[in-house]
Amino acid sequence: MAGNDLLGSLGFLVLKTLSQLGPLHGYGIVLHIQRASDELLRVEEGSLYPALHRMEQSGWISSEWALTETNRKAKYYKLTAAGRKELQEVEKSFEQLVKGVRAMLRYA
Amino acid sequence: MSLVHRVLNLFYRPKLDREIEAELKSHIEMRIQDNVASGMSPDLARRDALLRFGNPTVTKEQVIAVDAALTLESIGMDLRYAFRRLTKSPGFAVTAILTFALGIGATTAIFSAAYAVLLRSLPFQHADRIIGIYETHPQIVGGAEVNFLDYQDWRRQQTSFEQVAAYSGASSDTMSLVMGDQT
Repeated sequence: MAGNDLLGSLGFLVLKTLSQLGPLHGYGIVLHIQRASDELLRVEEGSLYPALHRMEQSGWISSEWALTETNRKAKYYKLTAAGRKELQEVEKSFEQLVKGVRAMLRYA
Repeated sequence: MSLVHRVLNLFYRPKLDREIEAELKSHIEMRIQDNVASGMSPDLARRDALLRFGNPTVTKEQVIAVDAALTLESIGMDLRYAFRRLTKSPGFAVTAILTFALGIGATTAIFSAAYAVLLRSLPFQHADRIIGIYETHPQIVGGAEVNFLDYQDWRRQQTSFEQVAAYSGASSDTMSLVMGDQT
């Protein structure tokens, strides 16, 4: 669970989003998390940015300024190789957590 | 986390500020644009975007704290502030400095004594195997000097030590050491 603790669930969702959609700016990440989770997960938009920058410092994502479809400048984030590895590990431990909790709930 | 990178960022603080500001601003503006596109009035669209985003200034500060080793900067600021306050109340400053000086001085003195007496090992090989032998007398407080003949007997009859030596001297600059029977 060490990876999970370090990253937090928001970081996990960001890495997953970037692995699903490729390079994306912060606003796009917010929209995707909301849409892909059937509106169940709502990211507090401002709090996304400290998390993004922390992950960039950790080397899991890298950033680059680019133009959006509407010709606006935005900072795009993309997954690095280290980020991909981190995502795999966090995903694994997350699935274990879910399995464990399910088993607990079923126990009578 | 690359500390070097974070420290370097301290020197590019204005550039870092601008970049983070631009990033947050582009987020808010994209939200406004989408809100307008979905039929909100421009005013409402801006309000809604800011509401969803939270306080941009606080967010910016948090992001900067991630990117730059701000603790260094704030330590410097604290030091300058402390210095200013101390120059404003010299009486307090002198008292505080004297208190520290006395405290540190006393502690150092006591520790050096304890170190020399208790902790520092003797300048010999296997210093932990060197042991002092003394005589005690009920009549003499603080231990008696050992008679030279007694010393010779100890030396011949003891079986516990590899060697026995004695030293004598009333003052430290005329000390003589006896190994066996030779001075």
